[in-house]
Amino acid sequence: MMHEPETQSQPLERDLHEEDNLKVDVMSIADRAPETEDTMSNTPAAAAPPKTMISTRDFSSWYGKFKALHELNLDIPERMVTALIGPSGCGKSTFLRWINRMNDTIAGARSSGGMTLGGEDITDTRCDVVDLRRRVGMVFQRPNPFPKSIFENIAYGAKLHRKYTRGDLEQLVEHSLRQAAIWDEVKDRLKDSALGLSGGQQQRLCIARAIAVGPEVLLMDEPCSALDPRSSAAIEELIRGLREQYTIVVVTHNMQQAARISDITAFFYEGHLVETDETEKLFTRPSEKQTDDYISGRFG
Amino acid sequence: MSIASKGNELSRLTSAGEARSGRRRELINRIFYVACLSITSIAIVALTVLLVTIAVEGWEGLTPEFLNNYGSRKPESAGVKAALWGSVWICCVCGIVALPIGVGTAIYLEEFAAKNRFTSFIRTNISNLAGVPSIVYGIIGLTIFARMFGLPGIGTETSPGLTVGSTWYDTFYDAEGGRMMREVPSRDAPALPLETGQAALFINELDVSQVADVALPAQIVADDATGFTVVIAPEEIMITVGESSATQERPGMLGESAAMNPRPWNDTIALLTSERTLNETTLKDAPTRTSRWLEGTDALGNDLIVPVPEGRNSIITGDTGYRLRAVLPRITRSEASAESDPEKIDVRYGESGRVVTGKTWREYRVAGKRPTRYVLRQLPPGVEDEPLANWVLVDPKYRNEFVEVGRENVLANVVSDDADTSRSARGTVFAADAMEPLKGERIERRSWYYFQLPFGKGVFAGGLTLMLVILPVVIIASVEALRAVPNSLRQASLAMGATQWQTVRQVTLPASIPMIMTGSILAMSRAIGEAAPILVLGVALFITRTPENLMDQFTILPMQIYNWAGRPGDSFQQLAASGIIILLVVLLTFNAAAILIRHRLQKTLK
Repeated sequence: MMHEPETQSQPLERDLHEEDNLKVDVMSIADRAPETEDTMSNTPAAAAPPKTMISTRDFSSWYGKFKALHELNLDIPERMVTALIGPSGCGKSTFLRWINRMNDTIAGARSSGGMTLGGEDITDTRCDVVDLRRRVGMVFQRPNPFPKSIFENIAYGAKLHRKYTRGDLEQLVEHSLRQAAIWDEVKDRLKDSALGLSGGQQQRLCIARAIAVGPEVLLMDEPCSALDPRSSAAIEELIRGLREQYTIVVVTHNMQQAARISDITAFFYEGHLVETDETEKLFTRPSEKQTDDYISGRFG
Repeated sequence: MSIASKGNELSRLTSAGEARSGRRRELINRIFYVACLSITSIAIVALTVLLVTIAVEGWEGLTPEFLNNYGSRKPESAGVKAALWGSVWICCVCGIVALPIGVGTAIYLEEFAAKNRFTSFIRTNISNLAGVPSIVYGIIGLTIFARMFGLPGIGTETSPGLTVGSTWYDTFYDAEGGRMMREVPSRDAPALPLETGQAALFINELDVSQVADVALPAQIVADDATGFTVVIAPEEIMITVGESSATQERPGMLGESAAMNPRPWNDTIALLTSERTLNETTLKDAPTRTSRWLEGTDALGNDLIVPVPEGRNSIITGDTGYRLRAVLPRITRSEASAESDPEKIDVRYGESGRVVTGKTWREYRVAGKRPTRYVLRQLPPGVEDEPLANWVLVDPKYRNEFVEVGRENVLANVVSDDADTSRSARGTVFAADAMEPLKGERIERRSWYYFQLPFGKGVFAGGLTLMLVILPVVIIASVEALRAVPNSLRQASLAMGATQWQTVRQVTLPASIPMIMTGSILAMSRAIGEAAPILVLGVALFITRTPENLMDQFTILPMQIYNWAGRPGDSFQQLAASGIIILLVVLLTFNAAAILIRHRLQKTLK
């Protein structure tokens, strides 16, 4: 993670309403690693093979004596949307929560095997969990804004890690909200409680909150399951927009949704990774029969 | 079984059994509603009756004097000032200490501690502690806070092992108006606590001797064993001395001569009070021969006649118009000095310039094992420009020291029985009228931050004791409040890379503060009304000042009310009712403050 303080202030002076600049702005404010020639060429549009962001090797996990994940080998490419699908209890969420080590808060949860984020072993006990979670943002199934103002919700995560001037903070909040496509709805009531927003707005607020910290990876644990179809559509659209800058891992029960938003899909079944492939291929020509049964609705 | 037959079976079962009467159910519902309502009404009526009774009885007593007066035995002048401020102090200490400890414990248990057997053991015990009668906490508070287990080196309540912010002063008053003459910081706390009525004198403004100031009846004492004659007169008396009453050269002056016409009198002692005269009491057993005598007249004109044994040295004292109030133990002669230089002791009027003035009064020692005694001298009339020693005071406790003090800036002699420690020093007398004794005491001035170990029975110990009473309640309330915060908020915060403390500080605690405050309000209400633990702590009831530091003594409203309520007489019952009103007002004030804080915090959150 490189820090470039001198680049921080410069993007802020640009016209804030220029949508094109916003994506860069948010990342600069949050002091994210600057774009390099190398990474710029790795966007999905480019023909070059995607770079692996998260990689697991023989990764297993237990809750006490129950083995939740069985020797997973999964590579999650950078700046793409990876969908994890499978029936309830198959270990998708468990896997997701290992990526930012949220399983640390559960007593009895442990893992074996390797999981790396950008080449760094994140299962290591010496790995700084606080820094890991700054790099890996998370959006939960149910919107969980803090009982604070909208502004404070966004500023919260950013202020945990860095000290901001009031002006920088205000710009960061605005850009984060714009990025999460909710700015126009809340710009007049930033001081109001976030709890007064609708479910879909709250979830987009949570996404804005997560990206305000400046993560590289966004984990989304069934982000639309508690929302109505219209809100779900807004979130899906948002996710598609965000994948150009973030590596996104989405857990979903909705296969149409997975097909709509993801580039790569991984099918989990009873703790095993059955199949992972490009989304289009997995949904049209799955190589495993189990996958075929699941996506065609024969079980699950 | 087909689906259709399953459905039939289900519809058969749903209509099985006897149908309940709709009206009956409605009736029971109604009865229950009325029962609940009446029970609630009983509580409200009881509360109202209670409040109205107290208000009616105590309203008249709520005067500014009631708030401003201290406790008194007379109901008309009794007030709650000490108790009111004591209660306020105690509750502040209690709240300030209990809240951080209670909330901190709850945060640890709920947010940090692993859920294991040890922490569940702690939880169980805290719940049990909440049910312990408060009087038990009084004993704990007494042992731990007031006495600190009496650990060696830590001292006791009255002589603490460690004090901060305390200064000792020797304070002197003149005898008449009680005007403070001087106050001087003393170096150390006194070895002997001073008692009321004791006086103290300065020597060189450093050494302090204590002087007994005890009112004795007037006496003229001729001590046969030592050969001194002494006049002790707390009242104004007149003494004349001469060969006969006719031979007085100067009335009102002292003199000494051989008795030409000896009269019968008591040989050893003559007591003089304003009521009893010498003539009445002691003229029965006359000695056969007496060459010298003392004759005195008291303020009522009674004659006083005392023999002076032949060949004895004597000191004669007293004069017209002089008020002699020095307290004089029985005199003894310094045999050694008397033999070597008898003139030092044999004081004669007329030989002025040698012994009468303070300047010429020299130190002398008392040989042998007899305790040091005093010499009393007086100023002759007309010799007023010269500062003279007028009286001498000796502390019986400091038997070895002989202190002579006159008017301002006269020579003061300190003579020890022990030759090695013999010393003399120039001192100052602070009496405006040297004929009056000094009144003095050694007092302790405590600053507002005064602190001592052990705490003693002060405000701090009292507050901590009440803190013990409410701590379990505060902890339980706080734990429940923290538990009520949705876990998703913690997760959200942690997932953004917040540390556990950041999460507690910025998410969990703000969200739970309203509930914590509610629990704390209930706990504090209990603390304010609690009398038993403070009673066990053993604080004084009658206190005529408000606390000035954390170690200061105090009393509290419930104790004061309890005391009044237990006394016979309507006036005291009325005082108790007024006190209860004050207590309720204090309680409501504290609650209002807490509710205000709660609302403030809620506003920022919602």
